[in-house]
Amino acid sequence: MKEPGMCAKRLGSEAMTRMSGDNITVVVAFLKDLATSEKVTWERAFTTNAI
Amino acid sequence: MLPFADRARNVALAHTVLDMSYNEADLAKAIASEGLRPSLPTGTEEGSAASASALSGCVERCWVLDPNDRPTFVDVQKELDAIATAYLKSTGMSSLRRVWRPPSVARDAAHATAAAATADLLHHEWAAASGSERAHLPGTYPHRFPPHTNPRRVVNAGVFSTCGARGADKMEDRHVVINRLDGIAGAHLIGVFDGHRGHECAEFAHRHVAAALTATWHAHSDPGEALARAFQDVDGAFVDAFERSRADATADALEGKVNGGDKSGDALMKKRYPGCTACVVLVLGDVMYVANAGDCRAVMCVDYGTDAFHVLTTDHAADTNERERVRIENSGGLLRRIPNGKGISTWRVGASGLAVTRAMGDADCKGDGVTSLPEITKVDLSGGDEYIVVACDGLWDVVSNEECVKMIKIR
Repeated sequence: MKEPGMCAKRLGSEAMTRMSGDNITVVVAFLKDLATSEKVTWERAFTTNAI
Repeated sequence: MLPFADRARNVALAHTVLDMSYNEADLAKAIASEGLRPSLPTGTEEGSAASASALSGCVERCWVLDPNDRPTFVDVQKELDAIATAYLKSTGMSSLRRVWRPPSVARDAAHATAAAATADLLHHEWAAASGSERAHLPGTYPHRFPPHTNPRRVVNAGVFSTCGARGADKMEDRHVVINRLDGIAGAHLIGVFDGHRGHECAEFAHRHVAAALTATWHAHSDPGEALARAFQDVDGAFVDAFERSRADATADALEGKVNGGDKSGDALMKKRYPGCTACVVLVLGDVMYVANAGDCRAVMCVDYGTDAFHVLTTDHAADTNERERVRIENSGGLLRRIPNGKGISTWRVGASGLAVTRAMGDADCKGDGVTSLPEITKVDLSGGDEYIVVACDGLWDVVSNEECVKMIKIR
């Protein structure tokens, strides 16, 4: 992954899960081309436990 | 059916599958390869059994293992319509019409009035800096700015924004992401605005901050200064615009233009002083300026491997920022501890008990030292894996900076 929208969603939904009582807005911005960011493989997506 | 994000909430329905010790990965595996499916209820009431089994059949077909065998949404809609029709017929309610509100002239007029008032409130023309200061070519940096050397700097931003637990009518957050600000390659703007006492100030700020910045940045030699000026310009313009719209509303009410139903709205308008906190990030090539007023926060990860990060802003919250409390005190502002309803009392500013010490809007708190002057942080961007997270306090209340960086890495 490492798609900024998904990162933002991950953080935002975690905040909802933790019962944040307020509006939540998260902007994640990579300061470079996505092509050079880390790619996550299928195995990794399923073997890494989310915190 | 529940959003996945709600799985940890105390909703009875959410506990049927999720209590059975699946973690996220196990659950995904079980659904995708082991055919785990929700168990479906059967109808018990007289006459509902047929519709219940029809619904169950529909749900089951939507969950078929091979995605190609699942019905399309059009099919699902037709099927649901058929089920509803059959149900109404079997219960003798087939004479019922679909819920549909007839057009109402009064409601349309009220909506139009409200929309016009908002449009008026949100309208503002930004006068460009005068004379030679304006001498700048479209698509280029103001010539007084220090040279910015990397027109290839890109910013890839993604946003998640939700009203959260407060409900859709209490959504006071706004954000803005602009790539190629003013047509300039390598210039990008990101802003998060968290409104309080109404959404108006955040709405105004997110619409105008870029225009306010680019209208006057030629007059500055430092982009940080330009940002600070933009914050104060937006603040001033909003306070004026809101005061004006309030005066209009009062005048209209006196002339009897507005019908009786809207009087409470006007009364509300008279008392309200909307404000918003703001965190704006301006990327200019290999330099980044972060302007913050209030309790939004920007965090930058500087090393992907080690999760090293810098916090780029200081929270201007009266309760946690002693330096800001001293500043408020020195400017003669009112500071008091107010119970927060959980047995703890927190520091608040002004007669209306504002939680932040810097914000746009909040006209009634200006005398207490609440200012829209942001703190500016300048960051030199280097290579490496760098990203920034800009979020309002809805995130930072429950997620620490460390956790945030870790979550993005693991995801």
